[in-house]
Amino acid sequence: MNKQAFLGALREKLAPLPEQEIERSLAYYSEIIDDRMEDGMTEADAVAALGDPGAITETIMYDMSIPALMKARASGSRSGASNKTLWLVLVILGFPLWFPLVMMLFSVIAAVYITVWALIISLYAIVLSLAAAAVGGIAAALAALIDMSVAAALMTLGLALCCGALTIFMIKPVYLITRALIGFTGRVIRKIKSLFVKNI
Amino acid sequence: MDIQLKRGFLEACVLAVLTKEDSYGYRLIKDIEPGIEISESTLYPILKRLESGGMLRVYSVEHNGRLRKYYSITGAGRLRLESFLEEWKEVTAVYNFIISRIEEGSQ
Repeated sequence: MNKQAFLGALREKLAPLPEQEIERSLAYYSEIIDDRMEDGMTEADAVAALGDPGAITETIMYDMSIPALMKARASGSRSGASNKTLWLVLVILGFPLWFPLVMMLFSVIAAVYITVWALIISLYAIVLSLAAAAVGGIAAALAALIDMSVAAALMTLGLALCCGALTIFMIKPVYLITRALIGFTGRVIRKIKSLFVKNI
Repeated sequence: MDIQLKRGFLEACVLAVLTKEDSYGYRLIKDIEPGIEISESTLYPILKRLESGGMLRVYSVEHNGRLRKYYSITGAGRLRLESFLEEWKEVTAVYNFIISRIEEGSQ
């Protein structure tokens, strides 16, 4: 395949994407082919080394947001339909079917985000409240020393220090759990995206 | 390698190569290849993400009658690279610990 044919095939695969994205990708691959050829490769080798336009398109799509992917997918099926009016009629008649599906998808995504963030926030809330208990406890111990018994003051101080120790011990695990949770969200989103990217 | 993990490595590789001098797509790939497996199609989204994150600045230079896109690292990019190194220092320490325990165990 020569450069022109490769770029043509890539443009065809990328067709459902926004024009700006298509131009940008084509410019990038065209530049790479030119640079490879300048480096002594033949045109056919330079093109072959880039791989299949379908696989390239998949990589580009995985990097797009979910709404952008849905839009691309919808416009892709529209250009495939021979009759624009028929497509429009189908969209309107199919509304009771596709609307709940779209809503469901977004609800799932929202639920994942809310759950993950709620977990993260509650973990930090625990750490913060322990820290507050430690600071408050030390203050209370001082107050107890003045107008209560030494034993009560010591007990309060001891408990406050325990809270302080727990705070310090928890900071690192909480940070690591947060990172793991964010990584998990990334994987879930990628799974959802694969619904739109596959079978291009 | 895990896909998210590799993505992080690739971003750091691009930024690291750019700390020396500004570069363009094809040369970036050649410079990164010795360190980690990379292809044109994997580099493209990485560059796009780094650019939209403000870690790269892009400008075009004319070369042999065509335009070539050059990438240059920004302050935000350098910060990102620093935090990457910081994080992996800890990971390496854990790795070394695991290796040393296994070695002790096999003796």
